[in-house]
Amino acid sequence: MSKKTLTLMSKDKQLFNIEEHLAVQSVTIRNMVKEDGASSVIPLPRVDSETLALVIEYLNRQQAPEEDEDYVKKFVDERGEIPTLLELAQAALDLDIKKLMDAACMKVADLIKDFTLEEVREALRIENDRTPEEEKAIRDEFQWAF
Amino acid sequence: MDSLADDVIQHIFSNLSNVKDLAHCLCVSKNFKRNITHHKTLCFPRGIFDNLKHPQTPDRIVTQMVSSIPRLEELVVCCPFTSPALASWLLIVGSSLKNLELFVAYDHNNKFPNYNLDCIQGASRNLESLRLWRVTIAPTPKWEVFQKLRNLEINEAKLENSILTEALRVTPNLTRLVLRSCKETCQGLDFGNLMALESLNVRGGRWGGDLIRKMLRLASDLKHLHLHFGLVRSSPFPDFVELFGTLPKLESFSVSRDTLFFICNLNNPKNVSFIITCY
Repeated sequence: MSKKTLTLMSKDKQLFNIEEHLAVQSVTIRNMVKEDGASSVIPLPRVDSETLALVIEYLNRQQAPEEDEDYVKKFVDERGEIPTLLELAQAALDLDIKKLMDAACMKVADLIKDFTLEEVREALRIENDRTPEEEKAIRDEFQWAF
Repeated sequence: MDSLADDVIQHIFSNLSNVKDLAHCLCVSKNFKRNITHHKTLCFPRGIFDNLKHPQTPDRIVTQMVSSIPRLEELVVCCPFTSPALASWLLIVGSSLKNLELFVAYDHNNKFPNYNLDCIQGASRNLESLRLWRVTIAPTPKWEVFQKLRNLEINEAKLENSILTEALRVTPNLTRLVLRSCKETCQGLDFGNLMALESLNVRGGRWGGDLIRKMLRLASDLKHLHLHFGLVRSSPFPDFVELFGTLPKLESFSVSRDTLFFICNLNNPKNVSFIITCY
């Protein structure tokens, strides 16, 4: 019997094939397969093709379970750019792949430590929702951290 | 570019261990100041508040951070603090706190400042690990039991028999006990119940052989035993046969040179060297 293959579609409409038994490491995909057999294409509207290629590479790994922790760490280390890691974390969140999500977030945390407040906002694309007065007040409140 | 899901950002923030980085998280936006929900740990290292400007004090800042994080599970305070401030933190987080570590620096005269740690009782419900540096808890007989406390470490503290006895009385489910460089000789101690103990680590200080023997007899389920103290002058120390005979579940054992020579009754330690490795 040949192994069953699933097709995933990225935000920019690119198609990726992956064997079902590997794809179901994603809890989201596992649930879809359970519900309707997922015979057609699975759309992932928030994941771009570059990121999806990385996720597929991660899911396709041939690793013994005990080597897995090291593998996922190395996997995110090799992609040490913050924007890439954030996309990867976002995709791992959508697809519910816990280990990948944990590792990517931990790596980002490691990279943004010692950042200034503005650098944190910029790196994590967080909008400042404070007025200049509120901004001054919060900086006074947390003066010791600046 | 699209903004990230809150969950991703929360998850990243939860990995930041440095309290200054965490303070930045609280400042990035109003949204995130309200929603630091994934964070479970707060650690205030030594020296972090060395250059504070008036009117800020370490006490106030720790209070500010502790109040900002609901359901805190781990609190490590190595910067200077006062007992009333500690009491107020434990009022805030006492119901969720699992791990507490307190480090007290020497005062200006190189002495231990006097601390009243009675308030730790307020965290008795959920506390699983208590690590104390240079302070001891002095439980009074009316204290309630720390049912969930598994790990107790007392480091570099002045330790009196009565205090250790009471401390062990209120922690009947301890599985790991570390006594490191404690200042008093503990003798004639009543240990009560050590049945749950799996790991005993005694480093530094002076300990009598009779005391260790008594402890081991009570803690017969020990899996890990580490004895690294200096001279033991009083009663004879249990020998290897007795030591291992009383501890059928022992998995790892380590001993300092001095303690080893005492066990072996070696008079001229300088000419002897050997390694015991057990698997």
